[in-house]
Amino acid sequence: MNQDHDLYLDSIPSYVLGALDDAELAALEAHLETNCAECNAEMLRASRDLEALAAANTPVAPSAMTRARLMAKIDDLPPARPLLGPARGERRGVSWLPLAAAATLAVLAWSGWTQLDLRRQLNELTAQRAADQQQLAALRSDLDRAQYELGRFALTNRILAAPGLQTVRLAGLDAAPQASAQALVSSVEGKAVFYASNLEPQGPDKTYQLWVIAGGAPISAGTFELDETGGGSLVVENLGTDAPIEAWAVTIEPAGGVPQPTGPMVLMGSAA
Amino acid sequence: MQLLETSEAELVQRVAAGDNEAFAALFDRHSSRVLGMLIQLLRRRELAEELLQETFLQAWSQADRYREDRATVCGWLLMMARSRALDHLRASRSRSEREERESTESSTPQVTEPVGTGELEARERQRFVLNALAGLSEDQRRCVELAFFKGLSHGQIAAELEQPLGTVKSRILLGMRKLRAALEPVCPT
Repeated sequence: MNQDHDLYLDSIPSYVLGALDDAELAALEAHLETNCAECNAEMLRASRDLEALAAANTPVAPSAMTRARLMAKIDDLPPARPLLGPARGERRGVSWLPLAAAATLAVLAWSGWTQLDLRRQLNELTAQRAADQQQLAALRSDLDRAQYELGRFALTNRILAAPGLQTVRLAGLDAAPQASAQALVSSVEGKAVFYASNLEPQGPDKTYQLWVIAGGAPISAGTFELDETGGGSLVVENLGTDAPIEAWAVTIEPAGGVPQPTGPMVLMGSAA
Repeated sequence: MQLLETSEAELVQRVAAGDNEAFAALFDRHSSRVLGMLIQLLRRRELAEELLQETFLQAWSQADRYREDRATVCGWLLMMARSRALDHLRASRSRSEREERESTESSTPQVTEPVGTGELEARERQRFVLNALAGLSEDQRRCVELAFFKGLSHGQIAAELEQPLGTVKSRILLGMRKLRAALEPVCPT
């Protein structure tokens, strides 16, 4: 018996390689059915040997088609051990237990359906509420913008109606020869309205910045964006200086503007 | 992310319960190595991919039979794949044609560029195993190579080498034991 066992044990390395002949294979598999602890342990070691030996082969990734086909096939195959449901061939016959279970399932199903319907309604209401809130936020944004534009329009009218309004024309420089602009300046109000046209759009990291030059130093009057026609405007609520303004200029600067000009000058006009 | 941390045995348990995601993870973890071995044995990529599918379908259907105390998961898959490939080879009627083709090729694979991730590690492991094989005696190495890389049985190896059956068996046994010691650093734990 011990001699037989040693033979089984010794044949396990060949078993994992698949080298056993039919008779040897049948004998070993019959022995393994006895759940021999020593042979189980040797099987585990031999499977590790096989895994290590397989590293001698170059791993090859299977095609996506093979994977996809396999995944599709298992959808149609029952798993080895389903989590739910009775195993095939379970005893048949009428008993109270299945009836009670069926009744319970029916109640659970009805209750589940009701819960599902309520959940569906709740989801719909939640979605509707979210859509309403989104619309309300958009309307508020439109209103804020309209109020801002109205204030800007009123301010522009006041500047234009102010006595001693001065018009300064700015001409396009080499960087934008086709561009032009004008500033309508109220010295009384200390404010101005600026309009530019035919400027080239800049990327999101750049902006146009308006400068007033007084006492030889540039003072930022603000930044402005272009509309789709290449035009831009700016209401300057505070010229930022009591000194006489000598000139107006526009440069291209990093988005958000800078305290002192750094980029190319595209428009320039003398206030004199 | 959760499946990445799942142990091999847990993964197989989930496959047994019909978890498709676990099955996909199992396939992704081991298919390259199984396919590499099948290609080495069968020498035909298309056939190897077909048997790879069959192997994993068997794993899906028999996942509840996997025993952690008897095999590593990769070892279990490799054994199932080998069994299918060897059945195919032994049933092949064009045996002589195959032998003729193989006679022009070395039975031991050459170090080649593996596909996919972990390439360097795979190449190092490949070199390590081939070096371990080279460390066997010529007789042992020949028997192990014929069994592992060509898929020959004891009887077929004895016939090919014109050696007694018992001699072949003992050479494989001793060769595999020697390999076990040499491969310990790269053996799965």
